Amino acid sequence: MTVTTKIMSIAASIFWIFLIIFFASAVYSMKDIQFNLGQPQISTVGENELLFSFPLAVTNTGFYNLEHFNVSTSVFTNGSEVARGFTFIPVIADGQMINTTHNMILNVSDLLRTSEGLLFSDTELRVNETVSTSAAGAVPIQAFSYFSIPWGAPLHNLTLGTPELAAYNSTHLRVNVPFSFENHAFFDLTGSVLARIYSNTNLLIGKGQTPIEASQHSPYYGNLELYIPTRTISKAYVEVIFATQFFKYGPMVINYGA
Amino acid sequence: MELDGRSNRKQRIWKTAFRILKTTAKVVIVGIIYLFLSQFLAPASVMIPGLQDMIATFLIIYVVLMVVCDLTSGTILQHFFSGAKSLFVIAYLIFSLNSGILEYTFGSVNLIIDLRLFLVVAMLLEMLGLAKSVMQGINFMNEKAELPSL
Repeated sequence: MTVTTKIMSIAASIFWIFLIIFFASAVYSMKDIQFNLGQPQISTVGENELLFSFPLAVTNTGFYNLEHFNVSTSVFTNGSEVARGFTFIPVIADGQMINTTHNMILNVSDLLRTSEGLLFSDTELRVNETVSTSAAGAVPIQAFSYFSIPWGAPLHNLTLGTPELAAYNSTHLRVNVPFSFENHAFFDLTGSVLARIYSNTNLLIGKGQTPIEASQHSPYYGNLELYIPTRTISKAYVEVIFATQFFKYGPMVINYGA
Repeated sequence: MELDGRSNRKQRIWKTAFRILKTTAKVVIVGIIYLFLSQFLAPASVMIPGLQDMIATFLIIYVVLMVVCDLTSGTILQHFFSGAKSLFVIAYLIFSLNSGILEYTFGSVNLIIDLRLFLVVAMLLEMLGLAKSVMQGINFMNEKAELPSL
């Protein structure tokens, strides 16, 4: 009996020593893990998607391997998730440094459908970031954080001018609708602006279209031309629609006449 | 007869002195481990407020129980305190490690460390210690019961 309990005591003590050394060193070595998610590079993919490529650097100078290293990022607007990205690294050995790219695809159409205000207002998109790994395959760690990425509005400061009427020929009048905006977005904006002019009895009396090509971070000035019959129109309204690869916005209504 | 009594007393004094020496040595070893651990975990203590106090409180109670255990050696109380020590370690680990899931916040970063595996292994080891104390206690009582009949 005494021998059995003595052996049990010795075995338990040895296990305790190993346990404490192992877990203390595993937790201690977490301070030697360096993780850096850099500034994203933004490019266009597909028809209406933006690819955010974050340079990701992980340095493990701890005592143990890092297993199942997982980085996930997600963008939320108005409570709904509009983008998500994952990066999985099976093993980062001790002393190893890994440089990779964490990609996240943002569907601009979905984003602008969820938050129409983003068409006109520059803002910051909140990105939730989760990093999880398992030190030595025994101590799972998870870290949550958030950061912001700037969002530039594609139709910032959009202005539709007052329609101007001018004689075109004996049967038609020309209506000019000047418009301007600043494209603050990460992408070039190509598409067209459509306009329809209706009489006060809601009768379509003319329509027009003009292409737009606004480079990123630049102002754009355009002019819509419509032709309407010469007969006198005391009151009318113009509907303007923006149709680009990323979004369709409108109609915006401009009233004119007495 | 008188000689027997003297040698018995001498033996008892030696035994007590040895027990005190053994206890002192154990306390010194625990102290050294504590000093080593506190240096080792100093970077973690900066991040985790209260870690140093948590370890210190644990060690104080553990050392007190260990000293009491050693001083009551040769009595049933030794096994009682030994069992209490194991139960204390189990309870303290469960409470201090928040059932194995530690959550900390540093600025905008929330960190979760999952120490459930450590907790389970530690609890199993302490259960082993508790079983050992119970077995030793039963053995002690058996030996006590057998002595008068001899």
